[in-house]
Amino acid sequence: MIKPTDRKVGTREFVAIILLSMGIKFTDMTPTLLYKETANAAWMVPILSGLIMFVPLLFLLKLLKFYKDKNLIEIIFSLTGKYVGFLLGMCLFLSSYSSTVTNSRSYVDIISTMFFPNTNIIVLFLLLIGSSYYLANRGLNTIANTAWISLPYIKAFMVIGILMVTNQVNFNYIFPIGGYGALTIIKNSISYSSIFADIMFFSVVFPFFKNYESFRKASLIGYALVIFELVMFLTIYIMYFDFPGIENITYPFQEITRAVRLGRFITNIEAVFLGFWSVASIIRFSIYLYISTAIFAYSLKLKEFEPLLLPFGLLVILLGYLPENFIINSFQIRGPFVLNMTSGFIFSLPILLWSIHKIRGER
Amino acid sequence: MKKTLLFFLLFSFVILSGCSDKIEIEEEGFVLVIGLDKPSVGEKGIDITFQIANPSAGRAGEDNNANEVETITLTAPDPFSARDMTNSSETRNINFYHTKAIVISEELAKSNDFFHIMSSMMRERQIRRDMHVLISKEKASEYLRNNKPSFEASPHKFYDFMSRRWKRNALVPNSTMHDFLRATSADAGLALAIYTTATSEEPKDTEDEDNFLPGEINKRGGSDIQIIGAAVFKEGKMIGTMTGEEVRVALILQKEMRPERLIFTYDDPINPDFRITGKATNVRTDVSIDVHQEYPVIKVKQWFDIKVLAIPSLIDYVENLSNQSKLKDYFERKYYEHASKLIERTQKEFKAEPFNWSNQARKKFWTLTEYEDYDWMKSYPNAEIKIEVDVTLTEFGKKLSPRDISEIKD
Amino acid sequence: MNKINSEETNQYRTTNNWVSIQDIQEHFQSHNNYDLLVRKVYIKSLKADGYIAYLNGTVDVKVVDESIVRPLQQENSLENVDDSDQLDFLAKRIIPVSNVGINSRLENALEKIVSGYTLLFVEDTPFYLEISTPGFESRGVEKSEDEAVLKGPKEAFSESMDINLSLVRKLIKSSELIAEYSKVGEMAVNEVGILYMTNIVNPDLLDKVRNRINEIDTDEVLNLALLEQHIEERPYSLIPTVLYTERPDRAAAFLKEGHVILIMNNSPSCLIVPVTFWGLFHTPEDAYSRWFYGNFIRIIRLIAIFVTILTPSLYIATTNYHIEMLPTDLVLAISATRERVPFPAIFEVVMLLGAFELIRESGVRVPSPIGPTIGIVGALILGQAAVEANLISPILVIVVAVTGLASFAIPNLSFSYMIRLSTYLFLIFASFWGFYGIAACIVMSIGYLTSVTSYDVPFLSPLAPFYPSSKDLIVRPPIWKQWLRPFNVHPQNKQRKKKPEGVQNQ
Repeated sequence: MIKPTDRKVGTREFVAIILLSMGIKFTDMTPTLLYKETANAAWMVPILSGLIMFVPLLFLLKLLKFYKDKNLIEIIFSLTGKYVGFLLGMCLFLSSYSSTVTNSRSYVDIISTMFFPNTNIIVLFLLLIGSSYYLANRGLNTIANTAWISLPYIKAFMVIGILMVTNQVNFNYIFPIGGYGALTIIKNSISYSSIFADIMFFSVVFPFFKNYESFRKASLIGYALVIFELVMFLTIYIMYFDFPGIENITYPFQEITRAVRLGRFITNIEAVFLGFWSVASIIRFSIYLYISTAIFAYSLKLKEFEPLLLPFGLLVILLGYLPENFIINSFQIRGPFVLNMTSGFIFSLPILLWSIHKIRGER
Repeated sequence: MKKTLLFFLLFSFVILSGCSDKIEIEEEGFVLVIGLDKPSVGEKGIDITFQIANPSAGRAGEDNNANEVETITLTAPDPFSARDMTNSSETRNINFYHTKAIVISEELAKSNDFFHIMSSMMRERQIRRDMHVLISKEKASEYLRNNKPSFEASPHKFYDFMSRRWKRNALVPNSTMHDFLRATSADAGLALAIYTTATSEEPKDTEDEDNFLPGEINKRGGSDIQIIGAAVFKEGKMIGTMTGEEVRVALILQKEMRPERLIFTYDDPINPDFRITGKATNVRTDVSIDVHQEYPVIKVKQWFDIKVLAIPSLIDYVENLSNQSKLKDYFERKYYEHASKLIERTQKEFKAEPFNWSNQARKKFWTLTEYEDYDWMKSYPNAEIKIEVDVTLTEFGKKLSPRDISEIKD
Repeated sequence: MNKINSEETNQYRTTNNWVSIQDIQEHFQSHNNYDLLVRKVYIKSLKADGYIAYLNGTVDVKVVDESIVRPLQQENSLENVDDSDQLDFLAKRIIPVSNVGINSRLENALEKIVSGYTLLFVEDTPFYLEISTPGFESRGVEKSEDEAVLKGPKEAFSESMDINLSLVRKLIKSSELIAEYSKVGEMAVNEVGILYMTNIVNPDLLDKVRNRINEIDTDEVLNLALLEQHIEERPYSLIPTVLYTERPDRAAAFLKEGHVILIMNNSPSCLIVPVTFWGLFHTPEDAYSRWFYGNFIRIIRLIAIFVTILTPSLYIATTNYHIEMLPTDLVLAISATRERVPFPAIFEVVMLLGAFELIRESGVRVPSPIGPTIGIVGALILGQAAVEANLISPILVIVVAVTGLASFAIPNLSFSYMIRLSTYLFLIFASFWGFYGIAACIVMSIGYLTSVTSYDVPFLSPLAPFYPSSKDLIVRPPIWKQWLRPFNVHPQNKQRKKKPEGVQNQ
């Protein structure tokens, strides 16, 4: 009855992982990119992108339900065969690992710019990836439990933060509500839909979850909450900075936390937000690292992937150190390349797999 | 063994490189106020004044002759390079973590490159968006040297407390760096900044309590400085000033501000030899805008609650209901006059509005492009504006009708 | 009482492997060991001589006199007794002591005699009688000192296992309460009592505990404090995985949740396995106080834990990295006081924390008559004088004093050590990376805490991983709502009582 192997990730813990890993996208440069493209209407993009990504998610869930104990990579292999499967697995690995690298670099840049301008970013990288590695090395359960424990504190603090700036925001700044027009919104919603692509990656470690039912429930709940959260923060940003102003703000979240004040005496508490935000980002990158390594190992059909975590973590630091500055990282690599490329791939993969499954099944 | 060695290597690496942002608090020089002027030598650069706190001055048992702040002025390309230049003579590491306000001389504010200086300052992480922006009539360096608050030993307390007063009495716009930059970059109306001076001029002879520019209040004793009225900015450049009274009216006309505690005096409507004093609260202001005409049609309605504080003429406005309604009408007319006077001035003189009405106008547009094409700033001067005022007399203090003076004389 | 097996008797007779009183005397070196008392006694009923032997100090002499010597000398037998049944007869008829056994082995004789038995040898018989007459000196049941409460029972375990067992039995009057005994160590005489509720406890857990005790590879374990270190999961970890408590009511409460309790002689306490964070965090008083009051103390205690862990590191992080956080007045005040201090802030903190640990340690070790001086020396000399000598800044005295004060509010000794030591861990991270470092340290600590298990029960369960329970975690629901046993120890019987009306599904 008491068996350590029985311990699997339950619904609550999975929701916590989703909320922490995807729900803090509003804290990096994603909002700035969105506002640059769509002006006042950027807050609508997550809703549309979410709806778009919902389609492959449904297909993926159907597949997982059918193949019960198999993870995504195994499903790919059994559906497409050895060579195509390997190729698809590697593509999946590249997209997840490249987003790990660029995202972690962008987080390190935030820390460096806003809080530690004189510190070598290697050191900041080392702490971020080092602690992520520590968590990842202890397994998915540890990540899940850590996420579940820290979630209420992080979110409570975010809510306090929002409440404390509400007296400084102006609701009218979200107008004109259409931004650059409906077409731009839709176009950007499609190309930025990979904001929500992460949800697909969790299916790689599907056998670690309690059962299909809890996986499905948690995915849907977490997905909806993440969309809500993103929309809420994007609206808060625009209501605080107003449109042309927000274009020039590199890190709106960090900038807005500087405005949070609890009455007259507690002011300038952005460092506390740094703390909570770092907790969330470390958890986020630990799950990224874990899943990327898992994809890699499963594609090569390696039995154990835990020993790979350390080299992969070090590689993140090395690759992340390559871009000269955050503009190159965020605007040239992360924006068009990583986000848009993965958008299409992640969107089509589950649909592709499902159609193969249907064709084969009917044969 | 290998593991410990690796760990040790990593650890020493971290220790050797990890603390480059570490500071010791006693080495820091906290700039409390920054002053910016046109350069006193040459053409380029700016004159920068730092008011740096001297922590040990206020401490018991220490050197009590030391000043709370040290004021240092130097000519430098920008405030950040000035930090290092300060270190040519001063020991402390200059930082802006606790800078409360930035004072700019009117001369610099009226020059063309002013907005560039301001917006480039925001790149530095230490500069906070909630700093107050003050425009001084004289040079900022002189202003800062003359600013000796009577009650607060240190300037940071001065600006902290002053901003709380400003929120209430609305004699100056409580404007911060954030408001200033936002209003300027939105490019739809005027940006207001706090207007001040530390040199008293010829006192203005007026019966009004708020119709002053700084320096015009007849005041003796206490601190030399006067902070009242606003400097008006259009497209990042100072173009004029507003008196305290105008600032009040402007803030009332804004939908969002709703000033709470406006103590005012007007001529007594029945006996103009006397003034009547009251406290007004701007309960609500409604702005509705029609953009479908050739020029915008703006309807503004303001609600006030007024508490009468003093009636020196001893006329019974309290129990005599016809007098009461007369007083009410009078107030409404007065507010209407003030508002239309200011609106006329903004339309004619400034050709833009400081009331944030663009916030209401933008609601009427679906896309940003349409809104930009409409160009609120351009269309405002020709706008047709209708003002309505609604006054409620809520209180008359703790006395009923005043006693007739002639009865007392008997 | 042992019934003599006649075949066994014959076997011993033939091998002639008798234990005689001389063997015992020889073993205890009675020529220079005055502890062994051997007395010749005439057994009236058998009309034969016998010897009684016991170790001085292990038996109750009164019992020996009244219940052994007197009946032997005075009771007359009414019938003739067969040779082979002599001892059986004595045990059955003559000696009015409930726990009497018959045996013939030497090892057994030695073990019994040191455990407080009196041995009776009858001449020409191969067997001896072992008569339980223990009279070890022991404290009575006293008030609990380490885990004092204002409300609730005040009895504490004592150094005698029998007393401890009786204290537990007094609380749980149930036929389901089982007390197993198990020898611990290779040359063991000491026994460990394994207590559990047979209808609740999970058999796997029980097996694991039994195995763990059997696996102990040492000659002897003297008491529970030492046993704790033999059976814990992670000897090098900061985290205790066994709960050590001196309160029988806690033991009973844990028994009823399906935990296993270990008791031992010479230990005024019991060990509880498995243990979770909550077992260490709670005190019995939380449950005894009314709902509101109990939760109030819990929250205060939680704050105390965070204050202990974080205050010094927060001070370092804010003054060394994030000075914009402090109010301007405070920044200037700290800056002024630090102007004459010749050390970096982190050094000041470590110095003063070290001084505080010194005060604490010497406060424990110092003989109680001069105890109060420690407080005076600590408070006055260290605080006041160090500030006046410009060795440390006054605000730091407050920081460390608050930290120290909060650390006294942490209930369990092991838990308190864990919290206090992690203070230093956080201090290291804070001094290198400010709040970023603190955050990283928090994540890693939580990650570590969740991955630690105590007898396969995750340390932070039932919070994470989540298990159904009565939600008696940081705060507790009213007592009538606590109808579920925590599922994280996998009890067989999951409900305390029927689900009360008006309670949502937990």
